[in-house]
Amino acid sequence: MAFFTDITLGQYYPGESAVHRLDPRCKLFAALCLISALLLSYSPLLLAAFTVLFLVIIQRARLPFALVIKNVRPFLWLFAITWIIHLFWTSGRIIWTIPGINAAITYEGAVWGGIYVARLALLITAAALLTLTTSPIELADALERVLRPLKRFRVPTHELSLMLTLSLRFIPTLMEEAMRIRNAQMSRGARFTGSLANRVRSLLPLMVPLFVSAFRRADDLAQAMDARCYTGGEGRTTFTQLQFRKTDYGVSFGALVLLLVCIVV
Amino acid sequence: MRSRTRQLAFMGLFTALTALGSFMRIPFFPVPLTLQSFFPLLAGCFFSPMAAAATQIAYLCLGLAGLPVFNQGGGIMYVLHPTFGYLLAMPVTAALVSFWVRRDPRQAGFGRIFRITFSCGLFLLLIGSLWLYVIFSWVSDAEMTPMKTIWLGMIIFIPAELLKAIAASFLTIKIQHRIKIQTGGAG
Repeated sequence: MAFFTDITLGQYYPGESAVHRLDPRCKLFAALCLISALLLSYSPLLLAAFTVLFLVIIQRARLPFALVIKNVRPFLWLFAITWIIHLFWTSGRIIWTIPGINAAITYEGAVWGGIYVARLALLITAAALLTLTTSPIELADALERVLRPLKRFRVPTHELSLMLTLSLRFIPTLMEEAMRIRNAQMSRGARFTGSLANRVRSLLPLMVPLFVSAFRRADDLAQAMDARCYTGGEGRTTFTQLQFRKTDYGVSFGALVLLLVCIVV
Repeated sequence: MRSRTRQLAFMGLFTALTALGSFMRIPFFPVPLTLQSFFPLLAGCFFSPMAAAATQIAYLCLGLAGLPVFNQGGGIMYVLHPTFGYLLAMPVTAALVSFWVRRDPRQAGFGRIFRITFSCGLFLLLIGSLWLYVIFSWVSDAEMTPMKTIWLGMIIFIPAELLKAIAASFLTIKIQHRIKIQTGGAG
């Protein structure tokens, strides 16, 4: 069993750069525009332009390049499958035929596979840039603001964002608790290794106490909130106010123009 | 549930537990067994359909906002991950379980809860494989037959889903005894 201790940090790379300081709503909007624009563009020239743009953003945000690459890594096998499938299933000029089986690699397949992989990698980078430069709390804030109009349709946006914040607080505590229970059960002779059946069975002495103590914790929290007169979202103010500045408008406008260009091209 | 605040606190807890579930993994071939799809089943047993779905939606928001609470990290780019469908199916599954359990709240025996959780677990796998199919055929433009996707995305996970359904029913019965949360209480 693997437990991470630095989960509260997430993918977020703390910094003070111009990109970090942008309003989270602006970054969310710009990222959505970039992703839609990328989904529409197939020409190698456009993809190259996007690559340059992303390199500039990475440089401006002072992100370590290796960190961005690390975010793309879980998708490597998807890239591989995409490229290989294109390689074999595109008709065109045959470069090489695999002896024995009836499979041929075509020139067009290699090129189109490459374009698809580049597009996919850029899509993932666009999303990664957003999460690397915006903290989860900021994003949750931005989401609550953006979704606020949905309140008219009785969607409890405030409650949802409160739940997000609560669970952010709960996760590290629960992990600690799980570790403690695990050690306690091991000292009583419980075994967490061995055959598959054994491991599955070993989850039970871990889960039952974890649930009981977690439920007690949630009860305590609710009482503490009640004691401090928590009454829900109506008329509540926030400690940090989001501000949409001139640069935010500029960046949002730029992203929108880029999207329009990609629609036209 | 006694009060609205208490319910919110419990929902936050379930979101956190779901996130924790993806960290408890047992190495297994071909993919590690995680408890990820176990918590929507459990949430469905405890909350009203809307509340159960909300706990899972909050979990998805956490992951998409960049916390590494999914199987392989997190972030908005996860939407393009072939396994995102299983995550997307979680709120729907939770609501479905809850709806079904509540149709007859007097009957909360092991057999009935197991039948409900297991069939809803299968539903989750089905939605997950559908997404797998869409990602492979649309984003990667690869040729996958629906049958092959169902095999890869659903059939091989059924034994694990069976275990999870058994565990969820067992835990529901056990915890109901220890802590007085009424399955039929106000959602």
